[in-house]
Amino acid sequence: MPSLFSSVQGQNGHGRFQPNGNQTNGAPSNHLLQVRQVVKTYHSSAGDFTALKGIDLTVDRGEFVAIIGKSGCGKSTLINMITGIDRPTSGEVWVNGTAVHTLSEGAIAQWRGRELGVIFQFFQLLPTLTVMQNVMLPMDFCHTYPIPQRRERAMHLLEQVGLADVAHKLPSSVSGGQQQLAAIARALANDPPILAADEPTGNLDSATAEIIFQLFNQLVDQGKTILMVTHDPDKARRVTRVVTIVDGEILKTQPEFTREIVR
Amino acid sequence: MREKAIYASRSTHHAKNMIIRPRWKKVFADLWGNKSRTLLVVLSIAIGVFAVGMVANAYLILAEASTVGYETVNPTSAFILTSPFGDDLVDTIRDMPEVADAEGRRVRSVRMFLHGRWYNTALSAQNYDDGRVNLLQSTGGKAAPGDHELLIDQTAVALTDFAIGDTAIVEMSDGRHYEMTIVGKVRDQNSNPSINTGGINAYTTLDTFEWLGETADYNRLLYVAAENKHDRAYIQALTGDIKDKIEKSGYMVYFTLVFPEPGVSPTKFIIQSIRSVLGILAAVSLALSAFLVFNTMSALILRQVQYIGIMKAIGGLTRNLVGMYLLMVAAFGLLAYAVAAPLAAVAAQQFAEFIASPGLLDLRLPVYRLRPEIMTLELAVSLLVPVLAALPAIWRGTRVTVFAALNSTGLSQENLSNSLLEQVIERLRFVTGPWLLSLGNILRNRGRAALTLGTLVLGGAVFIGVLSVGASADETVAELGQAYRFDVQVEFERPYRLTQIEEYALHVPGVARVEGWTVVNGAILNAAGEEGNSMTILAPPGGSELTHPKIVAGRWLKPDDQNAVVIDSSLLREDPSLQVGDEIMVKINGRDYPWTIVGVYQSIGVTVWYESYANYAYVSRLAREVQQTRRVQLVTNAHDPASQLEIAARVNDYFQQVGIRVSSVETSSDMRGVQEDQFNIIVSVLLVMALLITLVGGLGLAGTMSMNVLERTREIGVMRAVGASDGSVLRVILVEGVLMALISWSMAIFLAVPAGKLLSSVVGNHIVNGQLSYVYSVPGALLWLALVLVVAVMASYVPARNASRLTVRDVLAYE
Repeated sequence: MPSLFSSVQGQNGHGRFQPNGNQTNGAPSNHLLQVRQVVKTYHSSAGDFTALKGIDLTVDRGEFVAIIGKSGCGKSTLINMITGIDRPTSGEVWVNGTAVHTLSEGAIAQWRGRELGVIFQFFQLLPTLTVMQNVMLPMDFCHTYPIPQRRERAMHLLEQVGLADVAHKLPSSVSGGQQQLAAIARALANDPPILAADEPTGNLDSATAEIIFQLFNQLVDQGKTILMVTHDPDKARRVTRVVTIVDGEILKTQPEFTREIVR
Repeated sequence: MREKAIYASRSTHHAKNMIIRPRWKKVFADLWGNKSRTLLVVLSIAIGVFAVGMVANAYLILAEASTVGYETVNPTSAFILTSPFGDDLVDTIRDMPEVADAEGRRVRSVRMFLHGRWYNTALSAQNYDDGRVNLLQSTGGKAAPGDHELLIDQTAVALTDFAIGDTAIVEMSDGRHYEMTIVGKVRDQNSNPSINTGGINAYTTLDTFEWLGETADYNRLLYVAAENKHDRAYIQALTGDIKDKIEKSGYMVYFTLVFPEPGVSPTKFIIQSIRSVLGILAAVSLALSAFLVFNTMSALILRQVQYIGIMKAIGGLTRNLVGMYLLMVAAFGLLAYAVAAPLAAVAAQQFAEFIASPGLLDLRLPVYRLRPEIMTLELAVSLLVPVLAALPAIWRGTRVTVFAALNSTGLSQENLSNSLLEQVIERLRFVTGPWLLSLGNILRNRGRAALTLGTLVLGGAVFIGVLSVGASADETVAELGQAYRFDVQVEFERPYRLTQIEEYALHVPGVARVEGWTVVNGAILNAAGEEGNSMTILAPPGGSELTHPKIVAGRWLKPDDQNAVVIDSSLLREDPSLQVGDEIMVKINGRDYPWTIVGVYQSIGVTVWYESYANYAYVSRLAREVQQTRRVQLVTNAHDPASQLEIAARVNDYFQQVGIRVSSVETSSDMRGVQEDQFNIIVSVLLVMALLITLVGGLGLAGTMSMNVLERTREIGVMRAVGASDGSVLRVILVEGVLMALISWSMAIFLAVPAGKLLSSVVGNHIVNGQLSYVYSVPGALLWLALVLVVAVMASYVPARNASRLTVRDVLAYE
């Protein structure tokens, strides 16, 4: 079955990200994602605070992983380590063979644009661009797809998420759910193998959240790997694996069964 | 494959829409989406571009008018006053290979009654059919006068609103009156304009001179060198040769004059002073503009940090973002260029027309044209200044990490350390809530506050400085006016016995006292014994109380001084090596006399007639005019201008009645008025400067206040959530603006001292050949306080009102 969201399954036409060749050497395993002994400590005038205390986590291709935990437990910090949005104080983060923790800020941006789609709780669309232009922007930044094809691809992605009708509207003119769908289309723009979503349904009503969740399921079926931070136990029960974090440590990793049950 | 095909088939259809990539669309959407911010940034840049464009444009227009325009009248290189001569001598000089052209003129001092007043007038005649040197340019009416007709130098509009068709009465020195009709106006770029002399230049025919009882001969020879037209030494040598030739032809040479800068318009020094003053204006405006742009761009980038984070999160590289924001800045610059360049061109033309108007410099402006060099300069300023000013903010903003960007709360990023803020707040316990909050807001964002204060302080300092120059000019004019402690000055065509003149003058009702002076003309000799600059020696009696010129070096004359001379400060401009104590040789009536320079007095403007002072007893002896006078100063019973004029007329009439030949009568009020007029041009320029500075300062404060409020929208929401009323929110923001204005004012009043002294020095060097007597303008400081407070309230009111109208829900959803 051809993918709804990619031209070539799991690829964006540019292969594995190799900013300088070194980062792919010495990958510790064949896992798509591996987090090894990651510690993250924040320093402030009130004192040091360790958000992650030596996290180890592996994720394989095609998994739909939910990271759950209470507010302030470190789940968003963990996803920030994986997406390269924040850097570990110590430890390693390997994504699809790339040592993310070693990349410079510029290299991370380029890597993330091609290899990893990020979805935020508050959508984070650029307010001055239309929905379509927001989706085209990652292709523009990463020079993926020939310029004449970018518009077509953006429209295609928006059609798939049901937003073709609002493609030329500004984000402020569409609903929150539609903004999040547009953000997902944007995350898929460069056809990355992994999507990382931080509370993607946290700001949506339950009906819209359900639509988003089903969309994620379709993406996983097509071979995408999704990491999703959530504090919604219902959603967490419907993924392939649940990682529970308590006070900066992984408490337990549930096996891949819940999603099968749901289906 | 299927999808690729779909993309390919659709791509042609949408090809037109693909021209602008999303990142550039974001740039333009940001520009268009926030119009008030765009307007603010564009205006900030435009002010600098406008100032530079206007100054450069105006200077080029005026410089071209005074150089290219001046050359078209074939200006004389020098002139020689002689005994009467005819066309044969003119032909002889014209035939000299070193002479490009020559022309004879007859020039005579007369008095002219026009529109109810008498004016000292230089009446000249020339061959209008064959004009070759110092050409007159007709600006209205007839180009050449007929018999008993006059052309008037149009700079006379500075004195009287004359019109073609008016009748003027010309009074010769023997008292005879002649009615003549004004038939045309002319521009004479080589005459001393009325604004400088208080007199009129008029032109008629040689035949009319005969009708006036004179001979139809020339008495002044003008000539243009065939080469080295701007080389003073060459012209001086040539003048020596011509003088020899004239004398060998049997004529007397009374006086030679080589211009300090031959072939250069006498207006050059004024244009240079305008350029200096306006140059300072342009530099200050540009600096203020850069401050504003830096401030605005810092705020803009701060507001964009979250979006920078998003763009980085989806693959945007720092260089992509730097490129985007630089493009935005360049777009701001281009918009500013589009606004400022045409306005600068119009303003420059208007300004040049004002300066070139007959009442001021009377220049013929070149035909309006676009000047590519100015357009390029403006474009460079439009692009470079904002890019350089914005670069630090862009560099800092785009290097922020995604994590930091996405976790930004939208609050100010530049905070005082908590301990310092706590200390300040602790010490201000007596200050109530809103004031404390306003002060805290200023202290919290020190960088922004410093730049805004910098803009306002610089603006205030220059504003007060400009008004201080005006006050200093007034003070200087008052001091220079001490040279005229008499009421009426009468000059005679030839020397008369002093006792006789005293007797006649005291016979006139209203005259209380008479003091006889004498006047001799000479030429300063250089080391080789050649004649150089001319020097007119005014000789009041020793210990005279009727004149006290402002001494800038050395001392004033003592009653027992012999060959001591107090020289004109403009002579130092010509020969800076002259010093107090130096001995100079001056040729007077064919003999060389040594003089010791004992002092330098301050004069006004640039002149070729250097006037020096020496004691009457000594001068009258060497001029062989002991107990005789060529000029008397009268003290009248009443000293107001009207009384002075009335008594001057009576004195003139009486002298003529008793057969004394008067060449000019002036009142001290008119002489002081002429000095004040010298400052008119520069004061006009300074006023333009003050106006622009106010505009820039106001815009700066308005912009900063708007941005501050915009940035603190969330805080305002919090204030409202904890019970702040509309009035409280309004008050906090207004108080912040007022505090900023007060702080800036208290700094500006001190910085205004060096600013005012610098400007005074620039103006002084050009106008009074030295320093102005500096006076700090207290009214200027108070006026700036009022202006800055009004601007602060106005600039804060709109954002404050908008902020006070926001609901808590609106505000907290803002970010």
